[in-house]
Amino acid sequence: MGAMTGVFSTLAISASALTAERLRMDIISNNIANANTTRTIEGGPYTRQRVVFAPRFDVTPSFAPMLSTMTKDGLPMGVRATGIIKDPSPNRMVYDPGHPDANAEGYVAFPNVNIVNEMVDLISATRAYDVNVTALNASKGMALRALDIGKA
Amino acid sequence: MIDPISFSEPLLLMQKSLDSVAIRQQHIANNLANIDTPGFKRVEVSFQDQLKTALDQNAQPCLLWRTHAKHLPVNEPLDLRNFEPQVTTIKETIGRNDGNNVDLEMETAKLAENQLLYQSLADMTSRSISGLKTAISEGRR
Repeated sequence: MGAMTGVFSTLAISASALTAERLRMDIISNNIANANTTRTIEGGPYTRQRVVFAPRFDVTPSFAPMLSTMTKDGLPMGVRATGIIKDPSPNRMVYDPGHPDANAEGYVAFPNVNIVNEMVDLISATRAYDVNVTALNASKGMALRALDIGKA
Repeated sequence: MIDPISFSEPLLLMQKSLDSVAIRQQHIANNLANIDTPGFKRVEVSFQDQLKTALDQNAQPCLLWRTHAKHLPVNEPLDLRNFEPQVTTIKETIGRNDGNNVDLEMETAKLAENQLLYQSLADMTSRSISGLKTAISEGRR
């Protein structure tokens, strides 16, 4: 049994997912909050952001993970957010000549945020968070049962 | 005199099963953690069939031990102490467009099943230990 096996690493796997899903929820909330933000520090409207997930251990066989497999140390499992990227899709153009950010033709560039998409993503993130809490509790219950072995 | 191997064999069997179930729990947790990771492939852990094969092998009427390194292995008994569960990545199935094949419902069902299995194994281990305790105290409590 290596360092990454056992009860605490199982809890850490679920915890990594909770962190990642929480970040995803934060980004979705930020997108919704800025759905109508037409000016930012960089200039132009707010751009929708997305979180990119990757397994904490990638399956590409490189030296270090292979070595740790060989030394029976186990591989770090779980998920991690590798970055937050900007959605390159075009802005929503709305005709509103009276708006302070309207261009010469009278169009205002609104963020490329679609509230419906964000809500669907939010539900998916909530479900994923829930299922990882369930997994965490299951592992905790198992660990507690293991502590009872030999008692009574 | 108590043969140390047969004395501890049920406990060893249970220890190996508990270890395998714990490893399976780890992989189920990992599958669920990566439910939104594009391209992730789920991992399955199996041990019951392998353990049964090992036990059937050891229950054969004619077992031949190797007493020399150059003997050929024929009907050799398997040492349970070296037992490891089998970990397989399921690459063949496609669940979603992003290449991820983790099925939330199936994985949750496996989680519940695994938890119950661990609890019953822990219970059985406790029982066999208390059986030994009774024998040590000559039936007195």
